Amino acid sequence: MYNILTISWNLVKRMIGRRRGVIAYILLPGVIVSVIIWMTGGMGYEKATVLYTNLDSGPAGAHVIAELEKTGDYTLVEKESGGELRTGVLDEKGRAGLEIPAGYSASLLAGQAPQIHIYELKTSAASIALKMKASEIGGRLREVALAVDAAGKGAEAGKAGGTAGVQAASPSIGPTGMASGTASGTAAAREAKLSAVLQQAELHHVGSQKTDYNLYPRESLGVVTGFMLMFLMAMVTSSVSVIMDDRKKRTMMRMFSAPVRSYEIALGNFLGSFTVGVIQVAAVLLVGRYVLNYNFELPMYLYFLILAAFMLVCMGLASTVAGLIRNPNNAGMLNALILTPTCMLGGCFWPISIMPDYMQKAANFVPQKWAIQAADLAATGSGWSELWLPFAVLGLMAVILLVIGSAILRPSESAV
Amino acid sequence: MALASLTDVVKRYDSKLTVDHVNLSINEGEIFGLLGPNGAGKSTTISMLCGLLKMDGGSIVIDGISVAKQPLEAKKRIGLVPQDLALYEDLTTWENASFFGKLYGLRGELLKERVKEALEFTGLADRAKDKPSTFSGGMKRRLNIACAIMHRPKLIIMDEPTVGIDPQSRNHILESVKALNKLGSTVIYTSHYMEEVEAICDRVAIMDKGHIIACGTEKELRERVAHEEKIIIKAGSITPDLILELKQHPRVTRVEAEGETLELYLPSSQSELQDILFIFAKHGGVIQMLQIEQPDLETLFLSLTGRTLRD
Amino acid sequence: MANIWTIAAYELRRLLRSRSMLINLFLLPILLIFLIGSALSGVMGGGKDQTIDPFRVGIVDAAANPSERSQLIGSFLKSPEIAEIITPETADSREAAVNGVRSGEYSYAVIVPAGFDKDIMSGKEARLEYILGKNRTDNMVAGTVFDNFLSSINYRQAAAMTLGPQAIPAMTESGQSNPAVVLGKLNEGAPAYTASQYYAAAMLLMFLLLCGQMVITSLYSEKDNHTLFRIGSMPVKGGELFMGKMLGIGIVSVLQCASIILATHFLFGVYWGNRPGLLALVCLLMILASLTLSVIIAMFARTAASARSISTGLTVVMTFISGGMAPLPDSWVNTGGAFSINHWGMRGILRMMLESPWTQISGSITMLSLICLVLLGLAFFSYRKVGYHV
Repeated sequence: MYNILTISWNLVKRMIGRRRGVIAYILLPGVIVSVIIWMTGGMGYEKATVLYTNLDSGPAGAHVIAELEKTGDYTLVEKESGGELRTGVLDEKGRAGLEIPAGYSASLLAGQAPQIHIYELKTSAASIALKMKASEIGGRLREVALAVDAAGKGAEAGKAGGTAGVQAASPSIGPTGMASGTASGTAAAREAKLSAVLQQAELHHVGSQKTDYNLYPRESLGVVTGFMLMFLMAMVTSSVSVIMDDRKKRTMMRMFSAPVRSYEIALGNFLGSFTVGVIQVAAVLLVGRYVLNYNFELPMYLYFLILAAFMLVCMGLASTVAGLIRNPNNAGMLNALILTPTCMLGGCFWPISIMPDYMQKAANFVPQKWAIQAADLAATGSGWSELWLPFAVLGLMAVILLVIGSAILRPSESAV
Repeated sequence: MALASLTDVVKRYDSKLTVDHVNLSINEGEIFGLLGPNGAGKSTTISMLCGLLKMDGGSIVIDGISVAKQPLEAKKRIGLVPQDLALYEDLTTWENASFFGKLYGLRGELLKERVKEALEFTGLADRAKDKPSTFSGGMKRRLNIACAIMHRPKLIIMDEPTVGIDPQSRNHILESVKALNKLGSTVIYTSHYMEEVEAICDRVAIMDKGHIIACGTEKELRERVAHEEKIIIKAGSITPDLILELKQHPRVTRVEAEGETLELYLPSSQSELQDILFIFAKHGGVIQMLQIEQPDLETLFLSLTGRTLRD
Repeated sequence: MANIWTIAAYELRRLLRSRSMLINLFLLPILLIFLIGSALSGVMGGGKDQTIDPFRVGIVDAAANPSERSQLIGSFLKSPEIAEIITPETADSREAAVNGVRSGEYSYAVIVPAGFDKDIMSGKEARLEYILGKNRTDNMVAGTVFDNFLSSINYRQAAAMTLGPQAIPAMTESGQSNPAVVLGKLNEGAPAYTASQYYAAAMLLMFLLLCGQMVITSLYSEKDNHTLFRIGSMPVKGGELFMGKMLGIGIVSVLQCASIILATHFLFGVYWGNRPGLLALVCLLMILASLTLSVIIAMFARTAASARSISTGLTVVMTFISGGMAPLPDSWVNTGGAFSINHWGMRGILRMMLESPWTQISGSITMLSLICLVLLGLAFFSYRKVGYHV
């Protein structure tokens, strides 16, 4: 036991014993992570900018824009033409672009199925939501157009049988045909009717009101936890590289030549880097909470426990890799090979629920998933009756990886 | 005739003179030893000789070419065996040698021939396809030499080539230095092992604190040492009276006793040996072993600086 | 010149011999692009539905007796499409529903006011109350399901009020004709653009930036191996050694870049545009920028470890602020993002993918060239000032 403590204390002292170490391993990561958290966390409140151009002169186009505006989720910016809109999207002036084609209302009324165009450079939660909303409004507009058509038919059939031929033909007349001849009079009337319906609809007599007891975790928590996990994992790499250096400089061999067992060296190193890791986690949390005044939405001690448990798993992972790969330079690289893919799979960058089924299943093998789940559960006020599962999974992963890692550490061998 | 000459060479680090007006002249065809303790300025001098470091004063001329003015031309004539192993662990023996050979401008068949020759010379021909990471310390040292001799340099500089290896490899290296010299290369050999320098060098310069404090053939240097020899006697029943009488002998300058061993210092042993044996007999001392040591470079260094080489 | 080639050739040989380097250079990018592609495939392709386990929704009808309960809601909840998503459960009162949501018994709760159907028929205001539960996704799904339903009723009510009730039967969902919203082509003539192209380009640029790590490793390992000392004693100019190493690493980077582009093209069908020459130019500029940036870092950092962490940090920050990692506030992308090298590379490549005219591409290429020029100048001066020696 004494040996383990000596080895771990030695590691801690070497990493953060001097002022430079404190700055490099504690202060800097703390500040960087907190700033990034603060930036991404703050982003949740900002409305997504959506560019649009409405080439329709009728009421339907205006209605689409008005309804989108009413959701309150978007900052709408108007562009003059389709070309300008596309350039704007390309220049990333907005999250997405929406184009209502010319003659949209007329085409609707003619019983055709005109389409709203959406442009996006990359998929984001906002652009998905926009697509859903716009397609819903578009669908309703088509229904309304059918209703207007039916109403018009009924009324005119009763009024004059003489024009029935024209009426029957009118649905097949395109937008160009609408502008001329006998159809033009009815077209204007229909547009007026459509406009009236839409005006009525915009009053939203039927609707809903949401009662929010803030039971669910905010969207930003997932992003924040995700980034936190990614950086924690990267920081673990730095302390493991110190252990790798030991092997390279053969001080580990010398340690082993003393009356110390292999597992004591392994445990000592883990304990040391874990101590450093715990201090790093604490620094990040404290800077985030008290310097940047970021509200993590869940009890600090729970968040700390979750992150510490995750840290333990990372350490096991890193030491397993370090045991397999003898060259310290390569170890850093392989960690990168593990870090980014597991973060993606574990839901650090996007919610797991948007991934296909088989990938969601694969995510169960990734510690990030469980840490994020634990944070979500804790944020919704769940007790240990629910929290035990993710913690148990994390603990199990840590134990397995640490056992493997210490089994293959083999301090008697030097680096290749 | 001088193949390499250093004139008033000066190197400063932060206003501290690491090499202080060094003048040396190395003759063609000789093995020149540069001896000195760690930190004496040997490696700095070597680095300037190879054009690795800029001089702060003075000039170095190799084979009539100024190192400062035509570094590339001068470098072509030099083969440096660095103190630290300078090899690519991830390239094979053959690749290491041929890479450095190419940098000396060797190409094609000539390169192959010379690489083979160098590996055979250092006894590594059968390991040509192996990587140095699988080698013993001595083999790495030998490869370290092989990489510097392929272009048959006029001047081979060996900077502590025997550090940290077993006696067998050390002998192999010393033999190969002699062999290279016989093949026509002039060799500069630095070391802090005076035995090595004594064994193979024609002329020796001793360096300390940036100065050349002595330079000449081994014989010349020996003569500069105060004529003092050391007699080592191992004997049973050494009594304090015996030591006292030895100390009182007018020609003995110093007596050191430790257990059964006595060390006597005196200007010349020949005339006094009889006296000393007599004193032993008188006190009933039974001599088991007697050894007379001539002064060596170590003693010379000691007498010049008051310190030993391996401080 | 011969020396430069020799050094480059051996640098190349050593880089390509290291297994971990190969994995990192050629396997990792493809793996990441594959992961992103398939993770977001549901979203990008818009294709196959995911199986969502139906979750429980507490329904409270405030009507005084069972016969007055809302028929509209009742039949809506019975429809098979809805049953796949939610499992409605009747709760007795609003308090019971709220408690159920709090305890996690219900994922969501909906309160139907008394006389809901009647209000709708008579054109009065009618509102459902939603109580949000613990799960963000469930909240969103349930909210969307009920909102769609309400919006449909809203339009019907509006139509009935303005056009008369006889118009209502015509308002059937138009069936399977064509979706009301389509993803438009960002540029005419070009093959359809998909978001996976964006991520492929972002990954490519990130890996090109990471190439600089090789420079740092290589420059410092030459020192650690003491081979720099030996080469210093050889008839090789310092600049030749330096150029040779950069050339070797540059060639590896080009190989990497080509492998990413070809692999994503043939394996995942990523379209990289119809201007291979310009694409190569942008990639080369990116490589140049990344190499020179690393040279500058290596010249001023004391140890390999610190140089490596500075360069990793810069890469991550640049990828981050150019929006390649996570969506950032829109205002950021064009202000902060413009300070990253990726930003300009990204613009150029995206426009090539969209087959935009040259006038739209030239701007970012000019900008990239300028960045390269500045970095090259800085690298040159720092090399002259600090140098690369033992």
